[in-house]
Amino acid sequence: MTGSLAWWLVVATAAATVVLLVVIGLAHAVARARRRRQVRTREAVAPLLLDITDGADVPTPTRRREARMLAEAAAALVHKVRGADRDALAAWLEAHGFRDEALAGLRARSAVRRAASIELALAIDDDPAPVLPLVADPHPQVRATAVRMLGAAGHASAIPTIVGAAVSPRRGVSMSVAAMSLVQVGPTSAEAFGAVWTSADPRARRLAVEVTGRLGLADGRRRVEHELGSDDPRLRRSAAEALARIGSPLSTTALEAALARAVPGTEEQRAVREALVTLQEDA
Amino acid sequence: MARILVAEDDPDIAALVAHKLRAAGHEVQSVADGEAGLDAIRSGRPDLVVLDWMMPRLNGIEVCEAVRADDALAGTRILMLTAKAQEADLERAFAAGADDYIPKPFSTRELVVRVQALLAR
Repeated sequence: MTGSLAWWLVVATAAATVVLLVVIGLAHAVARARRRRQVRTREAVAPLLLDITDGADVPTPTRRREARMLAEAAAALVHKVRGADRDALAAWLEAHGFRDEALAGLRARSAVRRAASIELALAIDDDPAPVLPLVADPHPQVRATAVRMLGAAGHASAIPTIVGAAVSPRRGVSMSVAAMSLVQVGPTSAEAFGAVWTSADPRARRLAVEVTGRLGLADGRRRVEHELGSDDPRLRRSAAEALARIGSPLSTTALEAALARAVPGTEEQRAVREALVTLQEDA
Repeated sequence: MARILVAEDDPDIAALVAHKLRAAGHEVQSVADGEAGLDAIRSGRPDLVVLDWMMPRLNGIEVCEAVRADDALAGTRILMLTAKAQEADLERAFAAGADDYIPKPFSTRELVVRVQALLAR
């Protein structure tokens, strides 16, 4: 009896293993087939994309999958080019009805569709306003996509919203996602951060300081020097690091004062000292 | 007509740049990573390379330095096309031996004009 039970257990385990292997194999086959189909569709629409940048009047592909793929490819390329190519791609998307589709998609119940519509909406419209509410979307992936794409689209007017999403106590995005997005926006002046500089939240000011330093925005030097006297030690350290990147010898006095105040042996003291060395080397 | 190599890992950008350069009358080859780019430069001896900075295997700066270190490739013009757009990046690219530099997002018209200018040198 015991031997019989053991035998049936072995048979059941073997059968379950076989079924599991078959399921895994089928899932892989389906995924491979889907990838191949995507590649084929992408290859089919690639010449059309180039025709659009040449200003040709390309009709919307009759197959829905190809039409969608062409719109997505055009939307992705819009943010990588400028001038006549960008204008041609955006005009094609708008002329073929993708603007309305994108705006409707931003309000869709499906999070996947909301996220997918963000890039399309920003590709067609110069105004990022319809996308801004999505940085507080209930779904974290939609929030992150909105912040990333606002950065890729280079909308300086979205900077306070992006910073707000990074410091939001709920429905926010990570500081690193926000920082990367802000660097991608690439403001040419620290004044693009506007009211962020006077925010009561030191994390918001730290983000402004770090991006100002990363982009070497010399006009933000005084605001960054001011943060050397902040109550927040991480902000003071970030300010020292940013001033090293900005590289103005005019910051030497403020950094020397910060060094005198810094607690010995702390990361802040190390950052201030390194900033002073950097400025001396550059001088 | 010049022989141009486009080393760019973004297939959309590679296709677009190659398309515009072919339309301008050039013979264009594309590769998707730095190692393949360096191999293609050594074997094909293109007149000009449009070189992305951030690529797998070898980055654009490493490719640029390797080309400049090879006397046999001294005549190869290099135009860097990159999302890295800070002043320090530009300095680094020229220090590595780039002849010109275009930050992304970019205009293909500007790219073609700069390519023609480099080839005319």
